[in-house]
Amino acid sequence: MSNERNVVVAIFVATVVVWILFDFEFYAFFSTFFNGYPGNYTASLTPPFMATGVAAAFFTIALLVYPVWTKGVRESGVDFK
Amino acid sequence: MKDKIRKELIFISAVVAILVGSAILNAALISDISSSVAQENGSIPAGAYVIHVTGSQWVWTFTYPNGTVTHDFLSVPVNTTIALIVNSTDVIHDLYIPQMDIQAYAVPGNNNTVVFRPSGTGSYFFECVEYCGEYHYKMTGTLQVVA
Ligand SMILES: [Cu+2]
Repeated sequence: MSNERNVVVAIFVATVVVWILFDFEFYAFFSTFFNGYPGNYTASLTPPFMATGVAAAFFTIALLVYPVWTKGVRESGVDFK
Repeated sequence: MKDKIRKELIFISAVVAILVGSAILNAALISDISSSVAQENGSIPAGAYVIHVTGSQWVWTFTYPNGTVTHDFLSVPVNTTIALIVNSTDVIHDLYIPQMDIQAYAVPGNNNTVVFRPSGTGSYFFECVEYCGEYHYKMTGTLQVVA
């Protein structure tokens, strides 16, 4: 149980890192793309929302893939990798 | 069982908190840029440079305050509040300027207004994003922002 919790916590921490990276990435992209109001104003406010979308996708996929990746071979004899 | 319900409640309240927070932020954003969201006979800020835009099959026509008329080419001064009054002569068109983040439907008989303020000189792309007939794809043009 403790190990499983550690895995989930580790994936969550990685998700936060992904969120921060994409927040900066979207901001860098939008602030060069837009060159006027309201575009540049929108550019500074929307990256957190879009980064949340990417981070949520990362978290879900990582949770889904992790057990397959670690236990798929040993327990069923079928190599899910 | 008690523990399970507690976890469910924590999860539900976290999701609700995030959704409500997002809704409040989005509502604040939308009300802040309300004049840049196209609306019929919308208010035009004092001192704005007013340009009449007419969409027709298949060309954009721009009429400036001094009477100059251009086709598929819009030239505006930088750091100036620009108000576009968008209209159509035939079918519905839709003026979209991606790098200014504005969009306005051109509807026959309607005056849709949209406000923007370019902050950098250069030439930008605009196009019609409402399918309006055979040569819809030709309804593109250039926005030139000059110093
Ligand atoms: Cu059109």
